[in-house]
Amino acid sequence: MTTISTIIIDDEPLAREIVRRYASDFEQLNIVAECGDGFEALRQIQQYKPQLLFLDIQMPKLDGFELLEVLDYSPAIIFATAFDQFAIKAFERNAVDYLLKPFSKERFENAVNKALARITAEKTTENPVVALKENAQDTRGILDRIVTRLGSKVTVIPVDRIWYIESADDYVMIYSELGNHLKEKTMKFFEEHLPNNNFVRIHRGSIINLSQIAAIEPYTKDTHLVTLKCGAKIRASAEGYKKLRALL
Amino acid sequence: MAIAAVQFALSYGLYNQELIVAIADSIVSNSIFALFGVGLWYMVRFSGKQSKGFIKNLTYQITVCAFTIVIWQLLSFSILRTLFDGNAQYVSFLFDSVVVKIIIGVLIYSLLISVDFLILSFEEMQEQAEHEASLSAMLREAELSMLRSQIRPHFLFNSLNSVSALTLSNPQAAQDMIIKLSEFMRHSLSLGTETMNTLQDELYHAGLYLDIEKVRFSDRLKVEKEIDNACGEMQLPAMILQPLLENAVKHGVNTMLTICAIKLKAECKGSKLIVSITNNFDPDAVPLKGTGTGLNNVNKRMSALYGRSDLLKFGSSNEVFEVELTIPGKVVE
Repeated sequence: MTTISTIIIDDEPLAREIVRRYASDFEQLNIVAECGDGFEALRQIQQYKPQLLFLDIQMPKLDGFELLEVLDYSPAIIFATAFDQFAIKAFERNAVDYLLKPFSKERFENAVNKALARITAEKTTENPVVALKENAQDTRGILDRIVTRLGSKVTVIPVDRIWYIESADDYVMIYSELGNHLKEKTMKFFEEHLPNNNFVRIHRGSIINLSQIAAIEPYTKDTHLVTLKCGAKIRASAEGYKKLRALL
Repeated sequence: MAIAAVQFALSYGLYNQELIVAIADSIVSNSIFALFGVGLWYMVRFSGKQSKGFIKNLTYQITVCAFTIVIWQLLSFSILRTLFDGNAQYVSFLFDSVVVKIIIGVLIYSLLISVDFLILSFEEMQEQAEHEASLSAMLREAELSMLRSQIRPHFLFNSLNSVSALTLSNPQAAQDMIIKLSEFMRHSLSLGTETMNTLQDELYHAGLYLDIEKVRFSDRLKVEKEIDNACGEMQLPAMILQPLLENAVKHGVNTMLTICAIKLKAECKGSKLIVSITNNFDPDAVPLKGTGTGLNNVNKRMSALYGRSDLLKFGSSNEVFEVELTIPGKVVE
């Protein structure tokens, strides 16, 4: 019998314990790791490439959704949380099921059976994971932090520490106190999801943090040049300058 | 009465009427007017309750005024005429005085109406002030009860999830947890209706809460207490420590991977009670959403109770966050 590699991610030991106990009745489930926070979970996931995750949402360092955002593949996810308000978001992320703590063993078995069915089905059909992931991300509200990943290094950037963002082909480059980070997102996404009293898109290719502005001077006939505290000089289009003026 | 006296004096002195005639004249015409006056008072009361436009009100008053004056004059004229039919001098005076009486009647009418309206609007103002006072008291009460009884539902569900796990592995611990949780809930409910509580009781409540969180987070949470037992009977706002402790857990345990130590300290200085809560935290952690609402609520509650906004102090240094609450001896009423 083929087994399904599984990781349990929850910051409360007793919450992991109950999942482990319930899961022990399923011979197919092979629990390869248990993690108490998002960073540890990412390391274990990269090592084991599990097919199934039991995932809590509120955790130190990196929450459940942020963890999913930086994964480069899509395992089957069963959320287990005390918060009912994230259910819609979870299913938008293609979650198999959403267990509300505390949950019964029957409820748990039901979820696992669904997951097993999906994992079996995915082996035979092409998995439309990337589109779903992209789609789901856009339903988030205003961001208060951005998670980026380079190799195995994950950086959580609070939005107020961002200096500016520039487009770079299919990616954007985020310049911040924490360094420069690439993120596979569009400028439009950031324009819509960064707090709009602090961030303004002054040009097709740049969004700046208003609190970082050091100077603004005329550049060509229609454009202005914005100097940021970090030293970067960014061109503002006529339209961008108008938006900037309205906010200052 | 006063008007009757004036009228009597006028007709007696100026027009040289016989004493008895002058008295009768003033009594008859004025008592009729007084009767109308009482009627008018109720009319004003009634119409004053419904708010109408100014123009509508004015025409209404003029109509009523004309109507009243005409009826009044007709009545008093016919009565006095019948009474003093033989007194030719008086009858001619009666005819002469009609116009004057009408003018005086209009004046008195407007005076009466104005006085009535004044009394009415004064009453209304008083009523409104009373209503406003009771409303603001109610609002304050509602706000206070809302501020203090915010037990977060996910705390309850996460705790119950721990109980669920313990029933499988350690039934004795599960039972202990259920008892603590029940005690905590019961205590919260009973304190929900109180304004003030003793420090001893508040600390008992805090102890239950921290014990439950310790079961949830096991060795990730450490609790230290430094309590001056002499302050046990001192009063402080009921459930004021709860949001502060929840904050300590939220920003301490929930952001850190290593051990979080929460330290609870209480001491008294004269009639003042000083309670402080410290927790270590991860300074690199990204600020969680909802930062500051708990502290804000505590500050609002303290201000409402003591009329001062400087009783809650907080700040962080060296990866330690500290909240200090000063409780003065007296509550403002």
